Amino acid sequence: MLSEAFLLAGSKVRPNMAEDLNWAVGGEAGDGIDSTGKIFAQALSRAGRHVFTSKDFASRIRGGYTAYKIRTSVDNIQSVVDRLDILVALTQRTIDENLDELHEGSAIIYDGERSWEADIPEEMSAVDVPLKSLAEDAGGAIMRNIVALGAACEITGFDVEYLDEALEKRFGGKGSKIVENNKEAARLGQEYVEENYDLDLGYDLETTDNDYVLLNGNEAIGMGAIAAGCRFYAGYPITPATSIMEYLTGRIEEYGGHVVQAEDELSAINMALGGARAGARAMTATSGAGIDLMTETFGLVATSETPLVITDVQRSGPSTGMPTKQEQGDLNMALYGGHGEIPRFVVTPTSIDECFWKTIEAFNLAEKYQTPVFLVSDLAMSVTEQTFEPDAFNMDDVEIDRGKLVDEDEVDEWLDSQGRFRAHANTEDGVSPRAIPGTTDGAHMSTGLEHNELGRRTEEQDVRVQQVDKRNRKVETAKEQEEWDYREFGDEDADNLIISWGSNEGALVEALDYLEDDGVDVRVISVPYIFPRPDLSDEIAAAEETIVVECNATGQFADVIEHDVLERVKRINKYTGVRFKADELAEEITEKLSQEVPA
Amino acid sequence: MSAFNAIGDEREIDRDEYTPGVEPQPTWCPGCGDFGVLKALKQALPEVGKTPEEVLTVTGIGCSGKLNSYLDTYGFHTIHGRSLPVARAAKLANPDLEVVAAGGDGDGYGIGGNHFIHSARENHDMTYIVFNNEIFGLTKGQTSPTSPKGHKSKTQPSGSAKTPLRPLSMSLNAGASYVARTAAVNPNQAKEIIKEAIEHDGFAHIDFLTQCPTWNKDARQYVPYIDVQESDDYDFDIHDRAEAAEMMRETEDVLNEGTVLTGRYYVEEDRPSYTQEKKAVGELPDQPLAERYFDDDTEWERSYDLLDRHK
Repeated sequence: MLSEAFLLAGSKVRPNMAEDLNWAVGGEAGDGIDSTGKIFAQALSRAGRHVFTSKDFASRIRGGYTAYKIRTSVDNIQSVVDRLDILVALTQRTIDENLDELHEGSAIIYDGERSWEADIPEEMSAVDVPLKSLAEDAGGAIMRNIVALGAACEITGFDVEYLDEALEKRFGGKGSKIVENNKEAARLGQEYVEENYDLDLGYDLETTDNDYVLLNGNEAIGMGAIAAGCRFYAGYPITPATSIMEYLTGRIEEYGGHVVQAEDELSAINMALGGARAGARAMTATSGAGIDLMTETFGLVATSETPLVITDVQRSGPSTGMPTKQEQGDLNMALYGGHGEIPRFVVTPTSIDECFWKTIEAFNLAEKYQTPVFLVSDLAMSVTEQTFEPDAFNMDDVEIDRGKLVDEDEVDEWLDSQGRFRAHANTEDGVSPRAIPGTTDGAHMSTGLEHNELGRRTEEQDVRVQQVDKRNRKVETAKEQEEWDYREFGDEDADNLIISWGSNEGALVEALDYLEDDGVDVRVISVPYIFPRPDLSDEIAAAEETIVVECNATGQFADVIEHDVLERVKRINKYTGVRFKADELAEEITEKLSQEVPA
Repeated sequence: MSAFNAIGDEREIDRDEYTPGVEPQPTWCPGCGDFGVLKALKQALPEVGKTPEEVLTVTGIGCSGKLNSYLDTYGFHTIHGRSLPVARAAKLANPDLEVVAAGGDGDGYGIGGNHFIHSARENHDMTYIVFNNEIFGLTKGQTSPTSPKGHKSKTQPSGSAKTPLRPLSMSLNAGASYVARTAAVNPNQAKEIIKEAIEHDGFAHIDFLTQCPTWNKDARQYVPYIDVQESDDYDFDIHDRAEAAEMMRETEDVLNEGTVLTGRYYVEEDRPSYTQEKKAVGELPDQPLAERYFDDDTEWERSYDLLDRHK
């Protein structure tokens, strides 16, 4: 339970609505920052606390500063805030980078025996722990971060034993001696603080019996893919999509699947296409420039009516941009990418658990409608670890629909008068039967050229129109047959409407608390489908003010909304490379509401 | 027994089964070498015991891309240069399929060159036929990667400054485990080489000389041709990489001087294919990926245990 600590923070830091603790470890790339952070996050999760993590890859100063931040609470949390309570600083820069977020009640753990002299503001608690020496006592200097975790446990009143399981998970593969040494390192850190400091900062982390799972958005996509029956993945490494490929590798094989690393993204998407043609549920995922290369194949996927899931984990662009930074700049690419007119679906999960469900939905849409499905996530979601009730991923709720896949018995219904399979039959709903190579009587051509029902190329005008209409009709069918709902938060009857897509949802939901506190009544609509998308005409008409919130500079979704309703909306755009935070978003919304709508 | 009932069908196969009812007659120009590839393939496939429905032919863009329009198998016509990734992935998803990819010299050695190198390197168990006519035919006669140095065209009016790409040498160096060159004017050799390529367990590359009578009139019709295995003038061991390399280099050099050498150049029987390598380390199941869905016992193997790992 948090005491008055945050009240000491002063005017620059706003108190948080959830009773939470904000912890971070920071140093240089290569200091083991990520794995240290993850161990603590896992320990907190196992102790029945909610966790929401974020990563800092600051580029303000030369060098390789990186930090892993954890916000933890017994309440559900889904955003980051501008406040840091406990900081494990392996470099001075880690302190400097976070001065804005540190406050009078903050404790900074550092190693005074190291060569740098810590410059820590007087009002904060400087906790000098000989991390390296104690680590050596436990068996090796490499464990100094674990010593720091032990020290953090003491300061936060968190039982050091909770680290044990996380340490076993992390180091179990390296043998019991390594695990025991790490446990010892944690205890040495904890005992050192206990013996040498008499801190009473009021942090006392409550634990619960709740059983949580901890995962990030890319892991949720990977897990969703396997649960959806994806058995073929082709990719080319690119930040931040790579971790989907890494998640699947070593796991998908257990389910009879396979991952290939292709020579480039051109190959990756075409390999995924080839796997899909041969009958496997297939996916590729990429980011940044990778989606540009893949664009070449979008039209072929749609014209050959091949089911394919294409995941784009957006990062800051254009060009190489800021590869490790957040942005939602690829919406237009997903909606309009590729020459010609390409029927497609664009699905945009709004939270980590939704990354799982929308991935499954993407595979079903792809096979039911035999067209490309773009699953558009973003960097913020991909690197954030968050706790959930295991029920949030209830596998019994997973349904698999392979659409109009036909076997050797069903093929007969789809033959023309000369016994040829009509792979692109002009059906009422636009969806044709699909026969996989190896099926008797199902042999057919398929091509990126315009073609007739048999898949044979043609430029006859009536056939061209028939096939274009047929392919587009699939989208119309899907509009009618599928649910394209939005997610809703806040006050349904509020005059102020906030619309968002993708990962901004969590910060918006938490911003509602701040806004309520300030007497601002808001309805939040979070949109997980951009094409087809829910019709928001009534909602926008009912609102006095509408603001579209997104992480890009030009307001790509706001443009789409304005086009839909033929009315101007207000926009909140962030393109610093950092995701929205709940408190800043609340302030921005309040400010935006007081402004005139642009002409 | 495969879930796909056409696979492993042992019946007698008539050549005519490979001729589609829709377009029995190709629309290539009269005298085009592409007819030779089609004919050789139609002969070879039944002779190696493959029914049309257990074969997937994947083509690129160009005159050669029409191959599977005139061949009644499962056919997939990709975009320019991308036949190989599609083909090799289909083979991975269902290794029981017989997969043949085909494209022109621009498609395979130009825009798709990276895929060619990597498909050969990875030694995917498939056949790749490159229709090499040393010209871009479908777009009406521009200089291609294999056009001879000095070749004049609308895009290179003063003659190409580039030395032609060496397809056989490139293939060998990239890692293909079967490399041959044949010519449309030598149908018997072409058929035999295609049969060998299909039966070879690994990446089999055939550089198939296909004369273009319309846009490459100056070029040879690839006659007379010499079979390096038949001729007494050439003696090298196709299992010896160094000797094969030397023979390939000579073959590529003399083509531009008017001597057409053809035959088998390199065969590496023992090199495991990509599929074999991956199966050996447990990264590819014995059961084809595409078949898993038809196994009633699989129950989609839901990922409960995956979720447990996140606790």
